Order: sequence, then structure tokens, then C-alpha cells
Amino acid sequence: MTAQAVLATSVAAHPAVPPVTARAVSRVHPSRRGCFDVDLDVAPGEVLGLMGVNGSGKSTLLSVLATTEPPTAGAVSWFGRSARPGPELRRRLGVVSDAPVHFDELTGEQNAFFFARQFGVPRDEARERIEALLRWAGLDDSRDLRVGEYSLGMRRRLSIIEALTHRPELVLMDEPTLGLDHLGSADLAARLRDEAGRGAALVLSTNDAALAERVCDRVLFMHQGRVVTEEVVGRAPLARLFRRATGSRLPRGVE
Amino acid sequence: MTVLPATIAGREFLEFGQRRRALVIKMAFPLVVGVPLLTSAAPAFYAAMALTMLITIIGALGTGAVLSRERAAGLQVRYRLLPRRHGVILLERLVAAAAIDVAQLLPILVLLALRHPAATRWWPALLLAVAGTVLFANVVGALASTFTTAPGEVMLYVLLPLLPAFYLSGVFTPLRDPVRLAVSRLLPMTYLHEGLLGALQGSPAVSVEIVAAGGAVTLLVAAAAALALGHRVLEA
Repeated sequence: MTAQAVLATSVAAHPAVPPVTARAVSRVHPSRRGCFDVDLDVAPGEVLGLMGVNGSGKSTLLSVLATTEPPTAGAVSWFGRSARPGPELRRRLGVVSDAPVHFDELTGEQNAFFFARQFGVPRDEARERIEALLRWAGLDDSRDLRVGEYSLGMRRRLSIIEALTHRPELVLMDEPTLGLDHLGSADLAARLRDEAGRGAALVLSTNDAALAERVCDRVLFMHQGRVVTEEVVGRAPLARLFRRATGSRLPRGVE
Repeated sequence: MTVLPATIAGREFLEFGQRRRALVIKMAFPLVVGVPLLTSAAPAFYAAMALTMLITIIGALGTGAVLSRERAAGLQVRYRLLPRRHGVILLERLVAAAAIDVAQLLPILVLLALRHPAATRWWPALLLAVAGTVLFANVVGALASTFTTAPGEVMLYVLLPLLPAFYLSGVFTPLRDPVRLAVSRLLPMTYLHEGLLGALQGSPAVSVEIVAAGGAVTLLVAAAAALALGHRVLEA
């Protein structure tokens, strides 16, 4: 089986049910920061971007959608169910947090295999998929290196591998291009479009306008914890829309 | 060929084996305390007291520090996202950590057996009491880690409950008061201390059967506590 074939398998299950829906969701931290009154829907095969300056609530919102933080108000439903998130739901999620954390004493391949098996991928399939993803990510030569010796970009790539190996139906990524070089960012964009192509829904928090324009179908601009506007990608340059929506410029180098 | 871990316990063992320096320190530490105790003419009561404290504190401090460090590094979130019940995740982690602790203590237990070969009937009960107390101590360490913001604080939160518990278990002074005796029966260190006294050919206050039963019940209660605390420990 080719690497492309190994990676491209359709999600297929429950195509009509939105993988995630949020209604009036707030998550307020003791500092009074967080996200407030957010509504969103993401359809299967759709890529939704969250853009906003630091502290605008993107990461908090992603944490709520990823089940790592409960909302303080409002309701989130995953795959049509609003029950308390449990193992069955988490098996369908693929999450990349803003800080790529791994077991540093283990190698890249050991980390990826551990998470794949924890997510229920059979042993042989896990080896095959990880092999293909390591090759895609350019980590096949460093698979036997301790992750403690990885650079930030390599760690980020490994996080992405770990989030995708079990072919999740809902992918949530917080600043996935942080630490990646230009080539890595372009590879990631193609990979994410492939994931959407097999039916996975994706929510990306990013200030990388180039990535958002390549990958996202829609973008929610956030400011001071609230969604200020929603834009369909392709109508105008995102950097300009970002400035208009938030009153801020994108960080230098990501426009 | 690379060993690939599939389970939480497998990952714990593999990671421990790959941390050579930690492995050497962890294996050497009990020997530094235990060898002088067991090769000298220390009275059985005091040798049992020192070993009870050593065994309990090893279990609690190690796990408390590891979990506290992982929380600070963000690894707890990775565990939280695994598609398994949080209680089961914690139980598997603590059982693996307790198994490593018991392996760490094995040289001391072997030395004890070699020095007191006439006390063989106490060994199975003592092993059960060690396993039960170590798992209990790991649960204490896991709970203590939820109160900390850095691994350095773990010692305080571990010793705060353990020191009075040692006293109440009759580890420091023999118990005669019926109320204190009754309280001591609820604490796992009582059975470990009595088991050690038996294995050291001292004068245990309870029978070998009671030590075995106490160790077994401690194992079950500690496992149930780990299952119940999973959410708190992973979400803290």
C-alpha cells in the first residue's frame, strides 16, 4: 500500500451530524479572560479557522472544544451529543496543543506508537500509518532520536503525527505552524486539506494568514474573547479582514 | 530493534529503563538506608520503623514528584485526552509505578530474608504488605501532587498526612490503648511494620494471617482509591 493510500481513508461515519456545535459558550478564567458567548458549527470535511491577537480567546475556545476545559456557560455538542465527554468521544478527536509536549525520554517513533495504540489503532496498522506519517513529516531519519533532542519544529510535526494517526473525525489544532519552517507549513497545509478531503472536520487556531487562506473554508475573527466577525475565505485577503475585524495587524512574518 | 510501547504501564517501564541515571539512583537509594540497618545489630523494632518509613515515603514522593512535574510540563493534558476512563489511566500508572518501587526494594527484602532465614513464613505476608503499602503511598503521592505548583512542594504535602499516620500506626511506639489500636488497624503501615517485625524475628503484635489480610485489603482499597481519584488527579 502506498503512503498516500495509507493516509487517505474516508471518515464516512455519520456524514450528516456536525462533529462539533457550540451555543453561547463561555469559558472564563479567574483572570476574567477567556472566551465569551461563542456560537459555532463545523461540518464534516470543513476547515474552520480561528484568528485573533494573543489573548483573544482562541486557545481557550479550542480547549473547550477539545474537552480539556469545561465551558462555564453555554453548551457544546460533539457528533450530535451534548453528554459529558467520555472515552468514546475522545477517541474521535485529534488534538494538537500550542505547546508540543511528549515523553522526552522516548524516541519519536515510540511516542507516536504509544499514542496510536492508546487510541485503539491495531499494532500493524499503527506501524504502517506511523511509517507513512514520519516520511511525510520528514522525521523518518530522526525516528530513533530521543524527543528531548528534537527541535521545536520537529516536536510540532510529531504532535501532528500523533493527532492524525488514528484518523480522527474532528481535528483541533492550536497554532500548528508555530516553529515550522516555510516548507513544513506548506506540507502541513496539503496534509490538512487531505484530512478534510477524507471527511474530517478541522478547527485551527492560527495567525498564519497564508495557512488559513490555503486551508480554511471559513474564519472566525476573535477579539477580547468574543467572535467579532465570520468570513468565508477567498473573498478578500485575510490580513486585511483581520485588521478590519480586530483593529490589529497580524504579527510580522505571518501575513 | 526498537521496543514500541503500547500500554501506559509498558511506557512507564520503558521510560524508566531508558533513564539510566534515575535508574541507578532509584536502585541505590534504599540500599544506602537498608544495608547498614540490616547488617548491623539494630533492634528489630527500630529497623522495622526505619524500613516502614523508607518504603512508604519512596512510593509517595516518587509519584508525587513525577505527576507534579508532568502537570507543570503539560503532559497531564495529553493523558486527559486519551480515550480511556481517567480512573483507569491513573490506576494503570500507579500500579506500574508501584511495581517499579517494589523492584527497587527487592534487594533490601532479599537481604532481609538472607539475614533472617528462620522467618520464612512471614515472607509472603510481608510481600503483600509491601505491595499494598507502596500502592497506597503512590495514591497519597498522586493526591499530594494536585496541591502543588512545583515538584519541590510534594515533600510537604506527602509528609503532612504520612507522619501522623506513622505515629497512629504504632511505627514509633508500641500501641496499648484500645482506641489507638483500633485506629491503627485502619492504616496500611501497621501491617507493613508488623510484617517487617515478623520477618526480622522481632515481636509482632499481630499474626502473620492478619498481616497478609491487611496487605491484601490495602491493595484493593488503594486500587479503588486510584480509580476514584483519576478525575481529580488528571483535571487538577
